[in-house]
Amino acid sequence: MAFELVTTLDDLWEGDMESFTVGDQEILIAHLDGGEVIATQAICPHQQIELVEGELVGKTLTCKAHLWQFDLPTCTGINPGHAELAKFPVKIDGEDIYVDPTGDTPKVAHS
Amino acid sequence: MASPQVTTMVERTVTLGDGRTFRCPEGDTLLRAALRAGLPATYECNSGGCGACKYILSDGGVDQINPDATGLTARDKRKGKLLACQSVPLSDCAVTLTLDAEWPEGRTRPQVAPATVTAIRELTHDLREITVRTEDVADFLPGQFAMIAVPDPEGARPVERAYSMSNLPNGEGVWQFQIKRVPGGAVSPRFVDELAVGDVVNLDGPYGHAHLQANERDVVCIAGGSGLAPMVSVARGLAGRGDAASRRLDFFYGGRREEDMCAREFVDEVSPRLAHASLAEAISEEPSRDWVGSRGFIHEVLAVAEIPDLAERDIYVAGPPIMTDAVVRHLVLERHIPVDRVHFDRFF
Repeated sequence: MAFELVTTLDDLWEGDMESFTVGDQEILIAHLDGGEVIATQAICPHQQIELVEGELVGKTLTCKAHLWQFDLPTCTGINPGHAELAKFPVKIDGEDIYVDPTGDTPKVAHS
Repeated sequence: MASPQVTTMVERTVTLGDGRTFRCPEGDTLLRAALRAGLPATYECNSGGCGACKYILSDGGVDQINPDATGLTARDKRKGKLLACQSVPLSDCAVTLTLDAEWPEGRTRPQVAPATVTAIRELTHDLREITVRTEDVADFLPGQFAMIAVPDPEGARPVERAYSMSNLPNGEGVWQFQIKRVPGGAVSPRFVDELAVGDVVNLDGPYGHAHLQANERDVVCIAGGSGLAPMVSVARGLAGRGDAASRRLDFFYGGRREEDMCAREFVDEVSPRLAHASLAEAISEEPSRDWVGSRGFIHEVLAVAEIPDLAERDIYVAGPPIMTDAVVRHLVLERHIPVDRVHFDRFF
């Protein structure tokens, strides 16, 4: 529907991630090594755990609670492979990072 | 069943985001009331430590049993989230609570019942097996836990703690626990030192996800310290299955000192009924000259153990948080075991 300005590349360096509330959605924005910016759901699809409290290494995000691992560029599960993350549209304008919170819906998975 | 906490009490009505409602007896937590009503609310420790039961309160008031429970991070608090396991409704409430898709097959809803201590047996210098009996059947899955509460003369709420059952479900109402003295712990010394045959406790259960799976996979049990009880129950459950004679079990038990080791009798008990049963015990402190087992942390012992089909097994883990974390990290991050095969409930 509509892109909203969420943060800037100056506030979110390569290798960093942060969670935001955009519209009525809790969204995690990750600035991957190499420059790609991904906007996904802030809460693990498994349980009510903030993904930002996990570990981001390269393009892989590991949740702190049960070590579920996700490939951020594709927003798919590495382990378990059946897991998926929502992927929200991202637009970069200069330094500004815009996200469309209506572009996807947070996924829920059960082990 | 006699259940003193849920009779003749005021009840609150809790409304979920999708319009469904359930009743919460006065004094009960949101999480437990949801589970008692058969709603599969997400949770893990039921004790405020894991953060799996976070929810948002949109209307009504709740009392927080422990407002500083570690399961709620500063970020969660900023977002106005609460823990369902620590929230006692003070009025009718509207909540956004995460539910699993369906109630897991085979699990019973938790119930509260008085239980009488019928036997106490010393397993080691600081670990006692406590047997209690309820009027109704003991209905749970091997590996699950229950909350045991005793009255607190100084507090408004009873002193309560989660303990896993070590026996198997039965029609006689027998529940067995292994209760360890925790240095400085508020609850354990009372159980270890003061509980006697004839005492009555309040038992609330069963809870927990890390129970024996109804499938044909071989099993690995990894226990540390007071995590022995649920692993013994899982081993007994495996040995009690119709296909036990074709099932394999590798059991690991880690503790600090030789005097903590007590898993042998349980593995010997189940081994005649299984195709294979092994036990590896390890101690982390300096051993005496007589010690023939391994030395080190149990995840290190597991790392060099030869279980070629490890990735095909169901792996159950229970113990202190540092041990559970080290074992699960080893299994998932280093050995790339599918997370769906590693079963543990985190306690803190």
